[in-house]
Amino acid sequence: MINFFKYPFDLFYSIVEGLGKFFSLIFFSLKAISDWRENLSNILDQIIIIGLKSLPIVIFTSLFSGMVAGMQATYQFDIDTGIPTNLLGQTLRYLGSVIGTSVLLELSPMVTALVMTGKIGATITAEIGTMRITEQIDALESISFNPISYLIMPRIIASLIMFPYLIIVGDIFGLLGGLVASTSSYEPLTATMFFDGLKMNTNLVNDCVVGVIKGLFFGFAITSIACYKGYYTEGGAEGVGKATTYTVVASCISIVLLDYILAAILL
Amino acid sequence: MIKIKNLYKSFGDKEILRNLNFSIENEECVSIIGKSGIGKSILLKHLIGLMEPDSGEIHVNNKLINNLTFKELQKIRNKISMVFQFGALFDFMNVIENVSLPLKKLTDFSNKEIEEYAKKSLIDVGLEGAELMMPSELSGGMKKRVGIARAISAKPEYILYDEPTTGLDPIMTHSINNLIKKIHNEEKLTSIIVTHEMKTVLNVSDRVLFLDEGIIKYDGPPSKMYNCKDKTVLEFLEVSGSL
Repeated sequence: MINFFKYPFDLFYSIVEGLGKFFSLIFFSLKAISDWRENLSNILDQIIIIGLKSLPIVIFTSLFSGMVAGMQATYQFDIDTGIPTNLLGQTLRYLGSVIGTSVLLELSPMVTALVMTGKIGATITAEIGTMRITEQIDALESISFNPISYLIMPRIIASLIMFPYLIIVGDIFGLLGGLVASTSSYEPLTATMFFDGLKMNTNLVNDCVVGVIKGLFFGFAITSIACYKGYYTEGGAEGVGKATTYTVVASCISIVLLDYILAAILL
Repeated sequence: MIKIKNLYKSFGDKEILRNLNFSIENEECVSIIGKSGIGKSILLKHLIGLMEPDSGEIHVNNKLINNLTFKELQKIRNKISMVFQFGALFDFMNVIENVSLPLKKLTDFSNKEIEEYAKKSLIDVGLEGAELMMPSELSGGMKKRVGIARAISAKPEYILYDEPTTGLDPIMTHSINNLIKKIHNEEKLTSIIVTHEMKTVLNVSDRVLFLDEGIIKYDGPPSKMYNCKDKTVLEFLEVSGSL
């Protein structure tokens, strides 16, 4: 009975404590940016891991999500437009614009962020969490390294640098997928029409910038949640597993929330 | 010299250290023993500033180290090294990189000097030839040796060992004990060893602190432990086969 009444207070306390620890870790990580010179090699290592080594999976997922977008757009166009044949060519050009906007504004940033949550978020938590439970973080501190400057700041910096770049790569391959799938699945649509449609969209550059801004926020959210959960891991191997799962779930929720908030602000 | 005054630490309702008082002179070799989970490793982590006490004072070389800023604490940590229970080797670095890391951070040596010092430390612990091995390729005993090499590489004044022989076979235990003794004598260090092994206590240390229920129940030379009247101390000696 006592536990029943105590539970909400304990839960509230643990949420407030967790948020306090999270924001304090982020504050000290951002403060540690002034130590970037000392940790340049770590930042470069993380740029390779987060950016270059993630390229194949980002290309693959963006290409196929663009293809799905292309196929669905032409499918909808095919079944329910009822546009007279003499106007079809003119109207088909809108397909390029529709697919382009979907890819740049939503699909590329969202799919890239979700894939990176699994690839980078989980890896960061598992790495830092294992270092915590095997006392490697204590060992770093004992030889005068600041673990926040050495482990966390480089990962956050690298993600802020590389996420926009990954989003742009995702944009290119998403559009390519959309082009290939839409032109091959709907015969009246040609590549020229598709590109004409893209050019018709006067907000193309703006859409691309919005997608990149979303990517920056998603990257920061994924890396900071992953570092926080890794840094405060406790409870042995089981603890690392729990922390990794939490990272993936919390990052996915944050991405969806941020996506809505940023869309409301930027569009 | 390390001096502890009224050191108190608790986790929630559980009192771990209850107003501890003791001091350790320079070049002394002190073992801290006691049952598992009694707070020996926690005490060790307080001495290097990895944990902060709830109350009390920790003085290293007559400087109060609790409540120092990270930068102030760095100066103290330059004088203290710690050997962790399972080595705590950085698993993304090979052996020579692990041993070189304190030298890179704490000294102004050139890369060539760092390599020479790191290799010498590895020779001192009997691990020449293992420079390029990764921690995952090392046995438990080798990991502990690399941990010791890393700890001595930057020439500290104090060295803290957290259960240096746990999980090792008797031959390896004997060999690590000899290594600790050799390093203590040759480098003129102040050594503090947290252990369960009575062989380590008897062979290596000049003095023993027996920690139980957050207080020190025995403080004296290992040979006189057998005359102690405290039941827990005698039980510990009996169960460990030393009585």
